Formats: sequence, structure tokens, C-alpha cells
Amino acid sequence: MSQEQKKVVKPKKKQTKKKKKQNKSPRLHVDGIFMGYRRGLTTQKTGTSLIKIVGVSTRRESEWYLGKKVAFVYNASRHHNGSNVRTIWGKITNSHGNSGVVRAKFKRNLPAIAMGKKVRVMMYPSNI
Amino acid sequence: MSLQQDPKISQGTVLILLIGKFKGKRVVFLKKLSSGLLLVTGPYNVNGVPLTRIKRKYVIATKTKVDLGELVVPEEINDKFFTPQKPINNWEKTEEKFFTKKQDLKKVGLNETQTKLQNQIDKPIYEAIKKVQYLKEYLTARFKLQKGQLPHKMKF
Repeated sequence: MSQEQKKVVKPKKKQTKKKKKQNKSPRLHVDGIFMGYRRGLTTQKTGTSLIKIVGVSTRRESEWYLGKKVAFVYNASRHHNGSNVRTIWGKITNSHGNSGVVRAKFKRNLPAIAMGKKVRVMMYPSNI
Repeated sequence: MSLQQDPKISQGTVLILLIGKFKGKRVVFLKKLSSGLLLVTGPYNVNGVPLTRIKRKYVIATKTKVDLGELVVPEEINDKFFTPQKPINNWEKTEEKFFTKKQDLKKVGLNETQTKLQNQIDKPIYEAIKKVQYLKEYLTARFKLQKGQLPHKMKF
């Protein structure tokens, strides 16, 4: 096949402008991971959860987040008040260790199923 | 309620709202009300935020400041301005309520005095915003955390 035959000019597809969701709710939280409960080798204290905040790797960096609210967001099968999205609220209480992990206490203890799942660390109460 | 001066927040400071319907919006601070709440405005014609009040802990104070001069906020805009009108006594038990459907109980919009005060406040602020390059676009844009952005490393 010659070069000219190979080139097949395709008609330009009319680009339909997709209406962007202009006012989509902005992300105002940092993701964290629920690593597990506070524990010694053989016993765990389910009242306190350990959260690894994305991008925080030192104890000093984690100090910014102390006192901030945390939310574990999950779906349930039953709808309540128009939504099946539920949250468990808590707050970051102290640093845990030297590598940026943080302790949090929730209103109701986090379920064990949440281990390894995402948790949202809010930017409030803010003192910036 | 302590009315201590917050060194970061003064009249004209641009604040970022962290909570509520207008979260992420950048608004202009007007004054601290006697209840301790902060009075802010979009202005309304810039980003759709009307005169509202928020708590200091749900706000990020930025270094950006709108030069408002010595803007005097009218005395009428105080905590009472924001409290809803008192409902009729025992509305729940009246005949009218019995026959009113839930969808008909519409939220009362802003009345004349409220819109008048809104425009009165917003006009000098908007004039001050227009003088600075990109400030209007800055206030229109919403704050959001993007991938890789970490608030503990950001300077506001």
C-alpha cells in the first residue's frame, strides 16, 4: 500500500462540550487510613484509633493536625433522612510515635471492618 | 465572651470558609459580632455569599486583605439581624398548620431591608476589590485541596 493510500483522513469529530460541574463540592479534608487500635503486643484498646495521615511522616508535621476533626464515612443499605451515607465523627487527640501517625478518639469506636479504610481528616477547628 | 483582637483577622481580611453551604469560598471579613461570631460577606455579586456569620474555628485567615479604608458596618447588622423571625405561638397545633402541606412551607426569602443592607455593604467592598488585579477572580474561585497538597505545608 502506498503512502497516500494509507493516509485516510478521518472527519474531525465535533467536540461536544461537556458541561463541567462548576460548583462541585471542594475537597477540604486530608485522607487518612485507619491503621488499627492503640495496642500493646497482645491487647488492643479499641477506644483509641491510630490514623496514618497521607503525607505526614514526622511527629512535628503531625502536630498541625492535633485537635482536628476526623470522620469515618461509610455506606449503609438503609436510607435514613434521604441518604445512606453515614459518618462516625471523632477528633485527633495526640501524636503516636515519631513517624507521623496520630491517635484519634471517635464518638463511637470505629468498627474493625474499617481497618485499612480511608478516614477524612478535616481542616477544622482551625487556628490558622 | 472575649472580644480579644485576633492578630490575623482584621477588617477586609479574606477568609476561607471550611464548613457549611459555602465551604471553600473566599469571603471578606467585616467585623466581629458581640456573640463572638465573625460577620462576613462574599460580596454577594462576586461569589454568591451573602452577609453571614461564622465561628472563628471554621475559618482560615489568609494574608490577603481588601483595602476597605474605614468602612463602617451599619449598626442594624448584628446578631438579631440573623435570628429567624419568631413563629406564631403554637403553630404546630393551629388549624392552618394542619391543612398546610410540607412542600408549601417554603423558606421565606430575604426581605427588602436585608437586600438593601446587602447592597449597601457590598458596593464599597466591590469597588475596593476592582482596584486590585486578579482579586475578583481570586474571590470567585473556591479553595480546594488538590492531589499532593497538604495543609500543614501550606502558607495561607
